[in-house]
Amino acid sequence: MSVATEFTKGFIRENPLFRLVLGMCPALAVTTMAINGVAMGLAATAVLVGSNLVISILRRFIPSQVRIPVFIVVIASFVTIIDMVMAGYFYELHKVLGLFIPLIVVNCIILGRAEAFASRNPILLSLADGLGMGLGFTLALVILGSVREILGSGTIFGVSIFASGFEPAVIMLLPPGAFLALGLLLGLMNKLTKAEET
Amino acid sequence: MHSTARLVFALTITCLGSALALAAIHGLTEAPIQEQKRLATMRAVQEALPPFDNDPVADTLQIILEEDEVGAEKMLTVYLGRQGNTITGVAFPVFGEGYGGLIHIMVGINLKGEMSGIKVLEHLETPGLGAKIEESSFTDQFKNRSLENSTLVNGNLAVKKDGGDLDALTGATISPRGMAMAASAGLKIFQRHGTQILGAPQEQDTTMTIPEVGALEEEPQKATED
Amino acid sequence: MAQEAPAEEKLLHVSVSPHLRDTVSVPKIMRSVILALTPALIWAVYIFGLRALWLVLVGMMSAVLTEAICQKIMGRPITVSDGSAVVTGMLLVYCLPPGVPFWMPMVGSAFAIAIGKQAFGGLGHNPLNPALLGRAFLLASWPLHMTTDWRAPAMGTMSGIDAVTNATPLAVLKEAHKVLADPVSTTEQVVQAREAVAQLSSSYGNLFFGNVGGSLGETSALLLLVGGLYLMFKRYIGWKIPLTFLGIVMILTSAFGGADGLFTGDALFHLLSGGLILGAFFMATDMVTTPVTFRGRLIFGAGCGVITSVIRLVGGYPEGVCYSILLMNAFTPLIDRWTRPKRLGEKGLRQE
Repeated sequence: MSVATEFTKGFIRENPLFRLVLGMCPALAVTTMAINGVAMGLAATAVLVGSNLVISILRRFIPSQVRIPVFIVVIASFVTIIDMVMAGYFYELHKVLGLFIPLIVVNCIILGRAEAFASRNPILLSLADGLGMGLGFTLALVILGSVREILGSGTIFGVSIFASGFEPAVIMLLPPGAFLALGLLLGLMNKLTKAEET
Repeated sequence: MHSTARLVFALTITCLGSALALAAIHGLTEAPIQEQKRLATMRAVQEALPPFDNDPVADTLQIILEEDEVGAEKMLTVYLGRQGNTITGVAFPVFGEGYGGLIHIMVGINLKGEMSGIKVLEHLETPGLGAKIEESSFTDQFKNRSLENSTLVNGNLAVKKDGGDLDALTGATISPRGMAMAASAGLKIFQRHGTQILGAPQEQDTTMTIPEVGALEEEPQKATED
Repeated sequence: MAQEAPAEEKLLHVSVSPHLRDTVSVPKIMRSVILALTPALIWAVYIFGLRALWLVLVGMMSAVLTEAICQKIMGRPITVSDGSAVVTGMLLVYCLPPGVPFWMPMVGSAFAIAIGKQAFGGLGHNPLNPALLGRAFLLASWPLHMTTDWRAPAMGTMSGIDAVTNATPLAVLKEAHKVLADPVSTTEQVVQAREAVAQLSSSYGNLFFGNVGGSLGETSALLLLVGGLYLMFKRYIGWKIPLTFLGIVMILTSAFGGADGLFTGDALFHLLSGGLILGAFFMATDMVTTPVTFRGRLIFGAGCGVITSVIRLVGGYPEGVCYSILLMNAFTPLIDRWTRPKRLGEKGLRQE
C-alpha cells in the first residue's frame, strides 16, 4: 500500500465511473459539455479530498455507532463550502451545474471512500486515495462530456471543430444521449482492460 | 450511559466544528456572491436598456402589479436607465410559458413604449430547437417593437403561424410563442404603469407614494446615482 | 409457426422443441417481406421522384454494412445474407420524410443495427424493433429534418387538401384541433380550422391511394394493405395484432377524436393517414419483438392502438405509431410471461 498506488488506482483500475459505476447522477446529468465535466469533477474532488482528510484525522475519535452521521456532516459541510465558493467566484459555472453541486452530498463515491478507505487508513494514504479517486472521476466526466459535446454541439470546450456543414445530434445533449454515451464508453473500457489482462 | 454520552459528544463536536467552518466561509464568500449576482443582473440589464450612464442595478423601483396582470412577479423590480438625470428606458424581468417550462427574459423598453432589447435569463427549452430563442438572430426581431407597431393577436404579439408578425424558429413554435407572451406582458406592464415608473424620483432617498388604484404604499426608493 | 423460425436458426443443433421442422427460413421470410414492401416503394418513387429509391438503397446498404462490420468485430458468423438487415434499412427509410439528406438514412440504419440489434446479440435478441429505434434516434437527434423535410406528392398537395398545403394531414388536424380547443381563437381562425377539418374528412381517396405527403413509404394505404395481406396469406404475420391495433385506434379516435364531443371523431381518416397501416402490418408484427401467445398478441395490438390514439389526440406529436410500438415492444416480455398458456393437465395453477 504505497501512496503512489493509492493515488493512481482511481484513474483506470478502480475508476469510480467506468469501473465502480458510482456517481451516476451527476455523471449523466451535467455532462452536456466538457467544461461542465471539469467543473463537476473538480468540485467533487475538492469535497473528496477534504472529507477524506478530516475523516482520516478523526477516525480514532469517531464512535463506530455514529460514524455515518458524522461522515455525512463532514461531507455536507465541505459541499456547502464548495457551493458558496463557486457561487462567489465561478458564477456562470455554478449556475449551469445548479442543483448538482449540493447533490454531491449524496454522491456514493464520497461516502464510499469515507467508509471504505479514509476511516481505516492514515492521513497521507487517505489524501492520495481521495485525490486519485476525484481526479479519476473528473477524467471520466471530461471524457463523457467531450463525447457528448462533440456529437451534440460539434464543439469541444466551446471551440467549434467541424466544418459548418456538420449537423450535431441533439439527442447527445438529452438524457438518452447520456446513457448511450456512457454505455458505449463502459463497453469500450471493458474491451480495452480485458485485452490488457489477457 | 457513558457510551451514549460519548456518542452525543462526538456528534455535537462534529456539528459544532462544521457550523463554525461554515459560518467562517459564509462570511468570506457573502460579498463576492452578492457582487456576482449584481454583475449578472447588470449584464442582462445592459443588453436590454437603451444607452444609459447611471447604475441601473442600484437605481430601481418596486411596483406592485394588479391581479389581472400576468407574466411577471407581482412585486416587480424595475431597473431604470438614465442619461444625465433623465430616464431613457426601463428594464424588468418577465416570463412566458415555453415548451419545457417558464422562459424568463429581461425586457428593456424605451420611452416610446418600444422594446430596446431583450435578454433571455433562464429557460428549459430543447437544445438545438427551442433553445435557439437565446440567439441574437432571434431576439433582434423584438427590437423597436411596440404594441402599436406590431400585428397583435388577442392583444398580444404573436408568431406568424398564429397570425402575428414575429418570425418563429424552424421546427419550434412553442418556445417563440412563450417569448412573444413574455415580451407582450412586458409591453403591457409598461403601458399600464409607465407614468408611475417614469415619475420615479430623480434625487436620492426620496420617499414617494404610488398613485395606483389598489396599490399600497411603496418602500422608500433608494436611487443611488453616481 | 413462423415466429419460431428465427429462433430455430439459432437452436438448430439443440434438441428441444419444436421438433417439427418447417421449410420456412429467415431468408425466405425476409424475401417475402421485401416483396410485400416493394409496391409502396414503387409508389414512393412515382410521387416523390427517384430520390426515394436512392434513400431506400442508402438505408439498406448502410444497414447491411453495419451488420457485417459489427459481426466481424464481435467475431460472430456474418449473417447479412439472411436479409433481415435489408428489411430493417428499408423499413427505417419508409418512415422518414422524403426530403431528408442522404446521410440521415445512413446514420439511422447504422444506429438501428449497431445499437438496436447487434448490441443485444443480433437477430432474435433485440428487445425493440431496430427500424423504429433508428427512427426514434433520428427524431431526437435531428428534429428539424424529421419534422420539416416533407415533400408534396407529384400530383397533389402535401395535406391532400387545398386549404393547407404545407403540412401532412395529421399535422393539419392537430393544428386545427388546437385552434378549436383554444378559447382565445378568433372567429376567423375557427372558421378556417373547421374548413380544414371538413376538407380532411373528404380526402379519403387521396389518403387511400396515397396522393398525400408523409413519410416516404407510408402514403398509400392501398399498396401497404396489399403487401400486408400478402404476408398474412403466406402466414408470416398473424391477424391479431394488426386487427386489434387498427380496431382500437378507430374506436378511440372516433370516440374522442372530434372537436364537438364524444363520437364525432373521424375514425376512417385516422385509419388511413400517417404510418398506421405501415406500422400495424409491418412493424407491430415483427416476430422478434412481439408476444408469441394468442392473448398476448391481442394485448399488444390493443396497447399499440391506445398509445397511438393518445399521442395523436392529446400528445405533442401529430403521429404516435412509432412510439406506441416501441413502448409495447418493451412490455413484450412481461406480456408473454403473463399470458403463458397452461400446460396440458395443469389445473388452476396459473398464479406463479
